[in-house]
Amino acid sequence: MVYGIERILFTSFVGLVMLAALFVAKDWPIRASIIIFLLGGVGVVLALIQLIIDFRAARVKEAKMQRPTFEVEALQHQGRWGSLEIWAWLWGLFFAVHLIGMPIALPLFVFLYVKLYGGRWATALILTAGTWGFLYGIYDHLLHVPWPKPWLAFLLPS
Amino acid sequence: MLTSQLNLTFAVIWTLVIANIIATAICMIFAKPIAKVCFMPFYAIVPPVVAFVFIGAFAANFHTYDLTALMIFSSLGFFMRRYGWPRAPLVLGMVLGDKMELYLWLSYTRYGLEWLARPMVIVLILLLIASIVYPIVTGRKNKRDAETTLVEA
Repeated sequence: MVYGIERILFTSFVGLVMLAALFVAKDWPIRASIIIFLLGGVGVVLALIQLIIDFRAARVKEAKMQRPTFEVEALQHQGRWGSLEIWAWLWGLFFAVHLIGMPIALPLFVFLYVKLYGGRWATALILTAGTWGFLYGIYDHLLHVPWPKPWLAFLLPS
Repeated sequence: MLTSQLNLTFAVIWTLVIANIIATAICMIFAKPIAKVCFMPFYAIVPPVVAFVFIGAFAANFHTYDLTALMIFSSLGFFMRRYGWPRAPLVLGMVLGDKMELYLWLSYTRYGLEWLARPMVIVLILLLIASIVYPIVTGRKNKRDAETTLVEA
């Protein structure tokens, strides 16, 4: 039942995003808003149909209702923390990139991930060196990419 | 270019042909060793892949806003997968969206809303509706057949 409510909330969210897009685009010139009116209009109708399907599915116990075949198989939870774990890593990396910069955050992420999940020192060091070498060799040395200034730049050696 | 620099045109075409042949040969030669990646432990695959995804997103405009977009669309993709929404149409829309907008505008400026009444457009709209309705109808029919079989048994 909780899963059914989650589905309804997600479908509602998608429908609301479409509605918001239509509302925002209503004052735009037709050249800019035409595609939003077309896709948003169709999207809102399809979201409503999906919402009806979700409500009907939620009413059936265990949500075992026959669903249209154009839907794909839903992802099953891998334990309570299964999804949260990888999301924590991704958001951690995202904030680390902002805090200490990409050239440090990415190799650090690779090293920590390999070591914390039981990888050998050799594997961790080779992958870390590969990532750092790629970043430094291609982006820094060859392309001279201007790395954005990290938030903690004042703590890092220049 | 076809009239004044035919040699250059053919050089470009032959380069593409030869490059594709070489790429196919390389892929066929290295298919087996590359397939062994499937047997590597996840902790050796995930970090480099995530790192390359972040680098790829950043390399689009060399700005961290692209990383924010990456995280937002990753979340969207995750929830779509979790609730059984297909992701391929979204990617297709992202890729073809520009062209669709351009040709929609061209059609609108040239014909107004009359372009919706042109035979080919009507056929495409009908095919589109059929692609949505057909799976629902067949799904219901299969369900009804299954229930009938169950009752008869």
